[in-house]
Amino acid sequence: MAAHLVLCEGAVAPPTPEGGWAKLLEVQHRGPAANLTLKVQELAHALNITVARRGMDLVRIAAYAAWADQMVSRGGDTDVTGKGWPRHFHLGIPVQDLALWSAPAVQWALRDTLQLASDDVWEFSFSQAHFDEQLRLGDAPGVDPVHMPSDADCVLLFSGGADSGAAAVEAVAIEGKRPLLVSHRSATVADHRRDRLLGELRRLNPGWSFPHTGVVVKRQQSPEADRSQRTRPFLFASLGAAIAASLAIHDVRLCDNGVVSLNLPINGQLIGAKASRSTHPKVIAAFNRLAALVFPGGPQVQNTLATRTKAEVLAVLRQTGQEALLGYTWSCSHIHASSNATPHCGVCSQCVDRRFASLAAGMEAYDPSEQYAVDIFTHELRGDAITVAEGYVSFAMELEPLDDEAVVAAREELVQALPGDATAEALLRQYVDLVHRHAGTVLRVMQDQMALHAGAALRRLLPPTCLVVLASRPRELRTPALVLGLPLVVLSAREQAEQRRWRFQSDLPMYLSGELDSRARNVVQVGDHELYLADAVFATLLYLVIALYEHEGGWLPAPVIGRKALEPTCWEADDVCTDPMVVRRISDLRAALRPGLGRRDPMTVVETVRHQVRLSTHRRYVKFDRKHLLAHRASQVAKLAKRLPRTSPNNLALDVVLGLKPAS
Amino acid sequence: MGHVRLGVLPKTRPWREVVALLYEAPHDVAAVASAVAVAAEKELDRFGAGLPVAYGFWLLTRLTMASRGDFAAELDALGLPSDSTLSATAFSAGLGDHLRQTMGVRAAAFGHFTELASLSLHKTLAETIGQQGAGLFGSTVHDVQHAFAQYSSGDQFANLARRYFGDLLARTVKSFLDREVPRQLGQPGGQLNSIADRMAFDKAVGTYCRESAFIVHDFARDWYGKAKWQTEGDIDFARAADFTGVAMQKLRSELRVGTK
Repeated sequence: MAAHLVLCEGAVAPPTPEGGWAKLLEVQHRGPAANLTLKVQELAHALNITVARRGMDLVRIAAYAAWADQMVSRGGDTDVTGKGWPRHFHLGIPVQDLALWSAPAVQWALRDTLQLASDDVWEFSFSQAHFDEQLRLGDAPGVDPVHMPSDADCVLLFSGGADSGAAAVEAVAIEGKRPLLVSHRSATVADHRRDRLLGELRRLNPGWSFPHTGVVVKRQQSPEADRSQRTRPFLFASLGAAIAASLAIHDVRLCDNGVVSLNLPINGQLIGAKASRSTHPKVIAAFNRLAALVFPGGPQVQNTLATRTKAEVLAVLRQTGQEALLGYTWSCSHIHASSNATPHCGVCSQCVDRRFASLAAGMEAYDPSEQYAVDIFTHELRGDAITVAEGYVSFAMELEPLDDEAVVAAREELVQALPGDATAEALLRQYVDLVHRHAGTVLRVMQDQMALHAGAALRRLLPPTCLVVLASRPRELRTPALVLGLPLVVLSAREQAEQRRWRFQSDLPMYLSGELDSRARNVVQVGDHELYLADAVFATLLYLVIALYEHEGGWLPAPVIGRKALEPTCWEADDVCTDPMVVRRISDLRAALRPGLGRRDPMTVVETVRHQVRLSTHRRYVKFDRKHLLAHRASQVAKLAKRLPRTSPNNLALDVVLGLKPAS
Repeated sequence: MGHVRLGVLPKTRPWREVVALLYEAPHDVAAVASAVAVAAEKELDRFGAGLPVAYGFWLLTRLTMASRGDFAAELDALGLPSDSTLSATAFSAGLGDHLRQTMGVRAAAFGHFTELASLSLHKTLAETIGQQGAGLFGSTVHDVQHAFAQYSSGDQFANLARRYFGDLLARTVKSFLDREVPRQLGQPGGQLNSIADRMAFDKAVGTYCRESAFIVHDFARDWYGKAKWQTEGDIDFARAADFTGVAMQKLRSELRVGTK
């Protein structure tokens, strides 16, 4: 795949690779032809601070990457395989500290961080800059000298959302820290809301003035080709680290609750960075590796909320008596479509998460449903809205009942978030615990909402696509695999053809575990029912199961069933066997299976036709535990079990069948 | 949840048939899977047998081969964590990083399949350890070696291959269907009316895909025996890539047969 060449500030193009460049883009934030705005506001009037050249290089690299990120499409909404999702960029950038950025370790860390955050492939050609650029965070009259940024002991990246708001409160009111807030300014509406939040934050926490700088990094002129902005966290972290380095601060905080941070997929199409990795542990770790090279012994980024759910994060506001701040924060990703009356769309992933969290934390009074344009619990949901809301709830329904191993098996992305070192296992346990707590919270909120709206649901006053109705309705879908309660059995196309060819009449799943009940009878699972068979009857069933493998259509000549060889003549021409022993065994088997057959006629499940008998089902419907059966106390059963195929996919241990362990 | 980027199915005729089946007959998972195989034929051919999937499979062959010999040396040679006391979770994490970093600039050419291959590799590793009665928690690289050693016969290796390709197939099909399935919920006259329906459908399709992977079982067994003998246990990537190409074709054909 050819790379997109991005030449920054008039950098000289690197040699053209074989196959050429996919696209040539030029970006500059200096001069009259600037198409990227890069400004530091407010603190320019607050204190004489200079962001050093290395920091400035880092900020510019991040800004160019963020610009390029928006200028190349990731493919349309119908790109099912994601062929356009990962892009390949080659950035030509003049830098002030060429020796640093040319170092292979620095380039590797830079590429790795950006790739983890965006799924894109990044390459760089650095050249010596012929300009001397430093960000001056200037001097200013009229600012309380007690709360100058020089007093700050941490930098907190402040988006204006509930998580960064709570992190700021926690830092000041609980930890006694003095954070300098840094924001990335890109939309006027967001700036206005953030300023209101900041004012309230200062009012409620008079001991610290929350010095704040907004850095404007904004694309100019050119239309946006992609809106996902997966490199934005890199820009955010770079701003924080560069400013922190200038102030000799080591503690940089980029905070999101742990569930957002991991951002496990709630839908199968969310592969890789399609679920954003703004504060993903791996991205933060990668950024810190880079920061350690750029600012040796300098700032490191941390997410102080990484092990908490959003509801637990909101509890910080309650703990400090600052619940009202929640009303000043906003989370919606559709900021341009929001209004003052309904600042939240209600249906984007951030709004859904916020709504559940504020309900779980008992803070609905500060985050009322009227603030949401759509109430996911009772309003009609369509398109992306139903995908997000349903995914959010089914994620919790799927994972909440699972044990730790099963949670990991269901979301392998948890393993991807781990470092490959000795801390991995402990971290994985933390993550699984976090997922369990989050899932439990979501289900509790759903239960409350279902109870609250039960009357309306009963009177059919709610639309069929609202969350309350979708979660309340029982399963109606009947796939062949879900006829009854046994694990799923879905016949392949070939097996379906065999089922038709041999005119098998039953699709009931069965399982012969080899287990005995307290009265030493053989436990056989038939659909939802557990049946108990005496050894002789069980052996008859086992004969019929083996016949499904050894005889065409599963037909077993009747004499084989008996202890002694019987002549075929024991069967009458009208399909009735006259040998008393065989007749009795078949009859006993049908009687024993009857309770598990529902409306089915036992004669159609255990069929007899012209001196032959069979279990009228495809062998895929009958699972067994060969190992257990081999150890059966009845030698006849143990001997028969040897004839069961060891490598059959139906040969499954009980815990596998019950879903407690994965199938081999 | 953080930001998510959602998509829809294309409006082409084969994909419209998938949508129609989800509306009318989601219970017929074989037909749904077959329609997906038809609609995504080109993409599956182009990406399914691509470098990331083949590399993931090759890693499994190398780990299996090395499990009865000098496992640490092989891990070193592959650039994987080799400390036998390291936890299996750390090893698995390292395996995913290794795949991503090995793909390097080539990853951009394979869409979501680098990620899908990485996830299937994690899953196969966890299940391989699980089959030995242990779990991912509490296991070490030494246990990983022991687990892979149980898969060094042709038959057992075939199980490993089946698991890897079955999981990959299930993830891929789900990634397609999940663009539409939630949109079908509660539609007038539709068959998917609740979250419980949706979860049951997911499970049935996943099982169907995993069981469809039995088609590669015998092929994997024979290939492994032959490759092991011909290479004296040193199976190279090209050979594994050839296998992957044929295996993915078989899988796609198996899915496609569903409507016949």
